Amino acid sequence: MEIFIEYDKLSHVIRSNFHLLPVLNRFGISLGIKDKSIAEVCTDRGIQTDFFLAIINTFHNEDYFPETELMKFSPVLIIGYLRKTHQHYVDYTLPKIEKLLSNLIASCPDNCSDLKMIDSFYRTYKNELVLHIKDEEENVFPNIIRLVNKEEGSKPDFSILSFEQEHGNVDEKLNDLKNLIIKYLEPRYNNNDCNEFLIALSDFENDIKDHARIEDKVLLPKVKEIEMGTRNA
Amino acid sequence: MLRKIVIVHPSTIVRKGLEAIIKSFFNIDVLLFENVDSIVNLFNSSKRNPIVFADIEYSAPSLISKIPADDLIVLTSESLTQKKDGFKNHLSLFASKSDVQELVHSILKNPNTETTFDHEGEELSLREKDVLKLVALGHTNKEIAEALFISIHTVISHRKNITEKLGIKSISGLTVYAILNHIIDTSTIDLEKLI
Ligand SMILES: [Fe+2]
Ligand SMILES: [Fe+2]
Repeated sequence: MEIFIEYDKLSHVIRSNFHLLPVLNRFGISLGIKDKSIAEVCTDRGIQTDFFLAIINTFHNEDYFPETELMKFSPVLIIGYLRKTHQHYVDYTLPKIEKLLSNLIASCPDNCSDLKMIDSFYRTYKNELVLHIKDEEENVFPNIIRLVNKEEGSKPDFSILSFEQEHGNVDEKLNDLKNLIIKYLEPRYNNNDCNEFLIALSDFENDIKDHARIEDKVLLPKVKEIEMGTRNA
Repeated sequence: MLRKIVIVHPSTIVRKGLEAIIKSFFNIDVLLFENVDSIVNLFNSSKRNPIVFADIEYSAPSLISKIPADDLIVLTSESLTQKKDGFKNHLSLFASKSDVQELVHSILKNPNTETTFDHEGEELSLREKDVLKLVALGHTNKEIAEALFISIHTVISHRKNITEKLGIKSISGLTVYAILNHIIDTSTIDLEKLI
């Protein structure tokens, strides 16, 4: 798959993958970009071009993940992007998925106990995810930033291990949700409503996988590295 | 799931190129290796052996005694017609994309190699249904072992098989499956608490 470079036009990037639109928004980029290149748009808006490229390329291409390149960016920069992503999930993506799920349930002609079960399962998943995001926003990220700024008492009081494990649980449930609907749920609903729900779910899955990968493969090693440094100093 | 494919070749360009061609045709796992040293453990498992593409100079000769002739494809840099003695399947590095597609397809559809790689999609056994029922009701492995008079080890192995067959990993996901399939009776339990 294509790797975008700084001379590519941003309009080309968008046409290649519309799923990158929310990623651009997280950097404060909206449409109406004329024929500007990636480098031009980034310079105009004070965005670090190589960081922007690293983020859109890893998002666009599942097999492209230049760990060393990504590791050179400041954790503060990475956390800034991750926070924007959380905000997008909480303010837009999850409410949208819920709206589509309630459309799906409403499309079922009778009492639909099966779909209600799917609904409970979704809510379990969502509660877990929201707690995970809250923990990152309120504990993990502030701790990392304190660590980077070498503040007094910045010994991390969060467990890196639990941070890593939780991604597994959250991914697992999302995948189970998809499988339950695709493989085991009686199709007593409107097909279009179900398709829309599954497509939104799967777009979200791709987005959040990329997000978790940045946390696990870039942010965590980075923090471990800084921790080692402060300990030796 | 289909069998896995292994490519052993010292050239990154060959490995990645062949992988890309195979993946453009088949939804199949492809594992890449520079040399044979690290792939030995792939053949010791009880699971179905992978299909192996190996370079003629270094890898193929040392693999020929370990892999059934049907499963081994020798990568040669010679013209298309030349065959190497002792090997059943050949692929020239000058072959076309459709040559690759046809060769892989013919091996995958060979009745001798039809065995699936894992248990995905298989029916649950009666015993697995018993275990699933108790898992879905929220019991621990220890409780399940005691209730069914089996060892905890056996419970764990049943659970592994259930997850493999159904493609569902989380406990609450398994509970939903059990309810959808009438494996547990929903009239007597509080669903909100279970899922
Ligand atoms: Fe996160
Ligand atoms: Fe996370």
